[in-house]
Amino acid sequence: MSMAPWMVELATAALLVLVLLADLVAPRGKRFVWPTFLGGSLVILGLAVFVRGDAFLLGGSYAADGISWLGKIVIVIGTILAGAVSMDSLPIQEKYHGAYAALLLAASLGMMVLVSSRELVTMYVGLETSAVSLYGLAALAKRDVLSLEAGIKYLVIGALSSGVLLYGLALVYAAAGTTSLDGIRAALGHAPSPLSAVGIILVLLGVGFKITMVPMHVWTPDVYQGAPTPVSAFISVVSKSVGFLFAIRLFSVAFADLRYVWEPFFMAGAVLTMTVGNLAAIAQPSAKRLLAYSSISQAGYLLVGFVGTSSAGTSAVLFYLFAYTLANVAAFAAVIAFSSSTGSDRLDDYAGLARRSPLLALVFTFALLSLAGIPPLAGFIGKIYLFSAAMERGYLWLVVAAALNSVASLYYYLLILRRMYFTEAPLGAGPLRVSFPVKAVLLLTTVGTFWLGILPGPLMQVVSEVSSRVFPGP
Amino acid sequence: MTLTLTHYLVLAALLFCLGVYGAITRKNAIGILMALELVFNAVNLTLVAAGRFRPQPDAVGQLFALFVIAAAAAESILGLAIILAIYRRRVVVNADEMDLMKN
Repeated sequence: MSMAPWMVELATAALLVLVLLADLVAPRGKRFVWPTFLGGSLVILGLAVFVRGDAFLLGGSYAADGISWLGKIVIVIGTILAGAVSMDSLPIQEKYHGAYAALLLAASLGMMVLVSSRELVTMYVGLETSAVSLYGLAALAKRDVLSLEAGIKYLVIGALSSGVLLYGLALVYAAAGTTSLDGIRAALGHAPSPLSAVGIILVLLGVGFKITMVPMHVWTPDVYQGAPTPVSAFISVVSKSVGFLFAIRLFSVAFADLRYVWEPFFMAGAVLTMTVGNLAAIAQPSAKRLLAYSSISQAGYLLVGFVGTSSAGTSAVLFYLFAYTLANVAAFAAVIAFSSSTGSDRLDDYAGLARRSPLLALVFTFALLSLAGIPPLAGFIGKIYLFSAAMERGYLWLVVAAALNSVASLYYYLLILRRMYFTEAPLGAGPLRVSFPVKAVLLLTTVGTFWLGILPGPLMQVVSEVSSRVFPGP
Repeated sequence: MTLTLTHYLVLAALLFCLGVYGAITRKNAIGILMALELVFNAVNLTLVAAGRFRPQPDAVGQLFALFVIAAAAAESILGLAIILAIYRRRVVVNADEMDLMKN
């Protein structure tokens, strides 16, 4: 058996051990932990991009295909960026930095397994590995009661929804008699039994938690607000992206022939998610809560693309995940830069930011405009692809709802811009001090956002090639 | 009366509903964790019964249940650890008093 398709997972596991060793060597400092983490994960990024094999392993239950390839790239990019913004801004004691980095790697390892598996048991193990690590990350700042509260809320709602998901998977297994995705598709056929229909709907609810689909989004604002901000960025970007890939594997592969059972739920979910996210975002006083609701509405746009045809929908979702990752990490990095310099998370305190730190305000502006879908930024092209994927199935009303929501979202993004550009800064407020890693992340994500917005061709070609190979036919 | 798959599935469905009901209505955080255990046990019962009552019984259902048990244990331990940390700082175990956010 060749080792090549396992390279990325093995390297991540090895780096996890290395980071723990670095923590042992210098137990009370972060001196060794972060260089090890960053150096190692850059190597892993290289592996994730350049090692691409199309292979089925373990009797077809584990795949190295296009979806897992792109999924791993998004995961590794998200992990590196989240790690980089964590270094100097974590509100935890220095002796816990090793544990933090290790949990970050454990979560990304679990997600890699999740996006690569084609079999329910393996999927569940990957899902739980990442979920338990994320609960730990959210609660890690244990001097801060908010962080603990975020952790317990995330854990309880997460465990409940994974229980619902699991019960759904168990019913699907009872109906199909197999846990392999291809086997399930063949066994369920085109007509649902009561068992499989209930199972599919419960699975949909469980997946909805991961992708923050309304009404399973209730945990999002509290967890994003209470968890350390880099962790919120990681959850909002990587965990949500992986949730969508998980949904593609389950619904567009295993339940593909029962589309009419689950599609109405996802369409209603898309409209609700966009609308609730956008409406709730308007009145938020806290920057982190605003980004939480904005990321809920982004999940709604992604769902619009997801209900498109399997192949066009998948390629649009994959493209948008890259655009969303870059813009959302940039927005969170700006919030981290602001709060670690001023200690405030209140949007009112952003007043006059453009005069205090013009570059930071500019970068934050670009990130928000990309999330709103303004050309020439990546979010614009991404939304066009998402909406045209839904149009391929003729869902004009869905696209109209999404476009209206997109326009409505501009309102609260512009409110932030108005605060930054047209309000006076408080007296005596000087420029912010932004640490080098956060600066680097802001620069990279902004360049990426412009690059994908102006030259979307290469990535678009890659994602459509990937999805046409996974979903041959129309 | 012979026990069929349906009997097990109905029992599991009842357990599942009880667990979800408990997790939603319980005020004590530890009670919520206990209710969640019921949910996972309903899943395990379904999995094991579905594996046993197939035309050719196989071990996949039992295997899946073993993984579920392991993961549920990990979740409970982490949950108890966080509850303990909150208790040490605030002497609170009731979920509806964990409401520092929003205001």
